[in-house]
Amino acid sequence: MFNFFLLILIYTGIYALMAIGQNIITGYGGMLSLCQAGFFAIGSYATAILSVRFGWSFWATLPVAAIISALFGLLIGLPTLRLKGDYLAIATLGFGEIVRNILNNWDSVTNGPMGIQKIPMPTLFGLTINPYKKYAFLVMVIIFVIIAYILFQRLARSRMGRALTAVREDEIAAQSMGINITKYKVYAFVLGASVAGIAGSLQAAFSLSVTPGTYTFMVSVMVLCMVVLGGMGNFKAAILGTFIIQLISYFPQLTGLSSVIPPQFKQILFGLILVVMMIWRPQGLLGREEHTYGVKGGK
Amino acid sequence: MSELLTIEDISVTYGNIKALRNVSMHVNQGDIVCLIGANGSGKSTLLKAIVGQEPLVEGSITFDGEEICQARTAAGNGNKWGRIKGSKSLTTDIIASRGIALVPEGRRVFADMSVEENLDMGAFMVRDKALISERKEAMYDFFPILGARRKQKTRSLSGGEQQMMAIARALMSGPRLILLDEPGLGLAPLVIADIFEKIDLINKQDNVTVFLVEQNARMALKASTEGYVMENGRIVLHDASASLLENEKVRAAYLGE
Repeated sequence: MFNFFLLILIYTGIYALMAIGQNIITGYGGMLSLCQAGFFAIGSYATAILSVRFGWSFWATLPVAAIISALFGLLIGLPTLRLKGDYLAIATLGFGEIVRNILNNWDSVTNGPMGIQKIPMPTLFGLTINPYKKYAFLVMVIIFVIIAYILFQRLARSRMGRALTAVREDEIAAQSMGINITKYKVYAFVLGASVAGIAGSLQAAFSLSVTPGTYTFMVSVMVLCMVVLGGMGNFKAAILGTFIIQLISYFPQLTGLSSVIPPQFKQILFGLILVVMMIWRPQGLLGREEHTYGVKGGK
Repeated sequence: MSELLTIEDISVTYGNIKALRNVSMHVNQGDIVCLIGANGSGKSTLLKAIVGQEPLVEGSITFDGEEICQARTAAGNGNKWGRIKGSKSLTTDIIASRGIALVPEGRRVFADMSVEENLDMGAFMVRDKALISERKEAMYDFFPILGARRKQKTRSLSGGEQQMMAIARALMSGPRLILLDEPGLGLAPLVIADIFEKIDLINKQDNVTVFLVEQNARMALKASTEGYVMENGRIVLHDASASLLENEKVRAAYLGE
């Protein structure tokens, strides 16, 4: 039971990284993107393929996974970020599905629906971070979340955060203030993609195998739910939202009611949460984090 | 007096509809030039074209000797890192950095930010923090009401105060040319008079060239030195503002006399 709770915490950490990425894209940039699962998959497969086929260590695959995800973010971002709202959502949704279909069918590289097994465990200073000993892995994941949180929090307070806020509030006004909206949107998208790639890499190292079935559209929806539930534009809230959604999705197993509650239950509940939140608390549990974009210093 | 902004023979279309038909205009350094016309005559489209929001089908726009907008040549579409594909036009943010500030129609303030944050946002291109504080203080002196409300969310400001803030925000970038799209829209006559007074001061004291688009023809012509009249996407009249005020046709069509 306690072990199971640790498992939930580890998944919370991995998903929190994705939620942090989603938050910079949707919460700050105001772009409704639905392809975090795609970047998650790319990160996972990068780590799986590089470590299994080429014998790279986990730590070497991690930055490569982030960079490959970022490149795909750039590739999909440049043509689609001119789209707005639901059009962007559909384009990114399509991208996520394309990634999954390629993973399913490109047998020579991804081993198709069977996926890639026997991914080596990460080692650090001669110690193996064995996913079966969940403590060690949990500590590693938490460190990643903390680093991502600090970096993205700084980013949100930076010039880029200001620019994204302006773009989200009013694109025309932002442009006439000299803000290159395409540039900042693409930045946000690429950063969000790369952190999802890192999450994917951790996922591969944790489950020691990757299969396309893990990276469905529901993952993207879940990540979006996490951000909306916690509060858009608030990284702490994204992490809180992730924890709550993870608790809910493992609720049947946690309570030992999995024979009574059907697995579709969680999808019903996610939908319900989104509807209820939109009606009663559209700003999310914690609401948007207030930054003052004041220019300090001067006289 | 040198020409700061030159619009040469431009046309803009929305699908099959021609919104601007071969419009030519020029704005001299240091002037207040106004453009008057009815709803849907193409005034706002012209401003959008100047700041690179609408692609030109014909003609070109030059600012301070540099061509900023040009008609598309081939089937180029969309923008790409500062330049619009298929032509040498600059994108809106680069045009802004050249010294053209737009006060958009309907003000478009950042409603969830405070007055101060809005002004900071207006100075996005300015890297010198001392200069930003200096300009902010100057704005608070110039519009005392903004100084009194500097920490207040812009959402809570009245229409007139928001308009003043939009103008102040545009001035924060230190522009050479300020484009005003219907600054009097939806405001009480007294407030409009106040805003036009400020516009005049901005022009005289700070030596900012003003290009004003207005439906309120009388106010606009009184405030400006030169005027253009637009009808159905064409410039139909161009004269000194004082003469336009006396013009029979203008009096009948726009001044209700």
